[in-house]
Amino acid sequence: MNDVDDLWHRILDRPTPPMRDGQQVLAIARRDAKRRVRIAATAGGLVATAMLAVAATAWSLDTASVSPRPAASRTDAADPRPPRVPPRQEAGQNGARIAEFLADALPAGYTSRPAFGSNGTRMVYPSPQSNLYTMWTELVVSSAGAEGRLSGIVVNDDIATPAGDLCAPAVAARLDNAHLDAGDATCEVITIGGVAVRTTSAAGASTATRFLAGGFITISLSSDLRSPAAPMGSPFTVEQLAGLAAGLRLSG
Amino acid sequence: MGLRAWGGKRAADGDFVAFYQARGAQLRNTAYLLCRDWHLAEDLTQITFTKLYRAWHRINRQGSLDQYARKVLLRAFLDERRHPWRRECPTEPGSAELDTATIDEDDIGSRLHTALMRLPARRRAVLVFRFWADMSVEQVADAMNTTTGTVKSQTARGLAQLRELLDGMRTECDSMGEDMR
Repeated sequence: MNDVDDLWHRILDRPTPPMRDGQQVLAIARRDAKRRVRIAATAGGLVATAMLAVAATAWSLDTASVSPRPAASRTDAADPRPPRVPPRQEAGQNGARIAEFLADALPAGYTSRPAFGSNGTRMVYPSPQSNLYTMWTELVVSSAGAEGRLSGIVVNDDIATPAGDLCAPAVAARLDNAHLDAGDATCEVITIGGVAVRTTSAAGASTATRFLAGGFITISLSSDLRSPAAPMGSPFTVEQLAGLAAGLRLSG
Repeated sequence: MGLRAWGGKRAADGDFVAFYQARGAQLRNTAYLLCRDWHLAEDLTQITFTKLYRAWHRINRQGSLDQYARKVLLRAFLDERRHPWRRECPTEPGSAELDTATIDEDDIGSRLHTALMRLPARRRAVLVFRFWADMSVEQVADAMNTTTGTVKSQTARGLAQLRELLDGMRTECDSMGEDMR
């Protein structure tokens, strides 16, 4: 033990460089403490903002499903600042929300069940190289022995929101590219509560598409041609379908 | 209230500077024994006192202040070594020709430190904190987040390895002396 004690003193038995002054050390420590307080305050603010955003999203989802739908009006105006399409990581969760939202919106006399397994959601066309995706959730809707399909589709195609007429051929081509438009459908833009929704109507099928930054949401209603029973009477008018698209809030 | 808080802060800052003046040199020497680099030793000491400043109001007894400071220094040293730019390239004893060539037979301190630096970092830290900083086995185990058994075994192995290294260096110096004759 004494040998080891001697070892340290021999190592340190030489001139040492000057030390920092105590005030210098204090100044550096103070600066670091202030910086940490600033970082903590910023992080706290971000957390509070995120919590408020989550609360607001939850509230808007609740109100969207129970509040009366706002009045519809025909116009060509698009949303001035639409929200961003949710990231791919949120797709599954949003699918479940949309399925619940659509099921709750069905009027009396209609029942629904998930078309794709128990949770009613599935993702199709996820791009392995990027964040692009198509999330598709579908309900089989039944009424008086007849069936139809009510779908909610979220597409992240990373294309900017269309600037002009939502019924323009370029917009139709974009939706056609995502297999969501019928060439012989009638197109009309309906504004619900300031949100422009592109609607299409064709025999046995109608859609309502709301554009987001980098993607879009489509609510689609169709008669099930495979159903042995008679075609189902539509549970929603085109305006109501547009109301669903406008009222839907996604997380992420 | 504000004036009292400001006055308390000023007094705490005075205590902090006094503690640095009393213990700063000792902690810097400890850091130097660990890393053999005065610049890094200065940085490790500053890191220790910066962290100490943040926790100053939570630590009020002199004994725990010393222990806390040594613990912070030890962790700062071990953390610092995890940074990619601090990673050492281990060499086999005797493989670095420059080291043996520059050993001054009279400079026993230099030879001792060279041998110490050849120990693995954690083993070196155990020896320095056990025998230089006078920390108990339990205190070192707590600071290193390990068991007392590990500290004891690292101590025994570290001392044995240090002895071997010093014996080896003595042999090298002897043979160098014979060659010169």
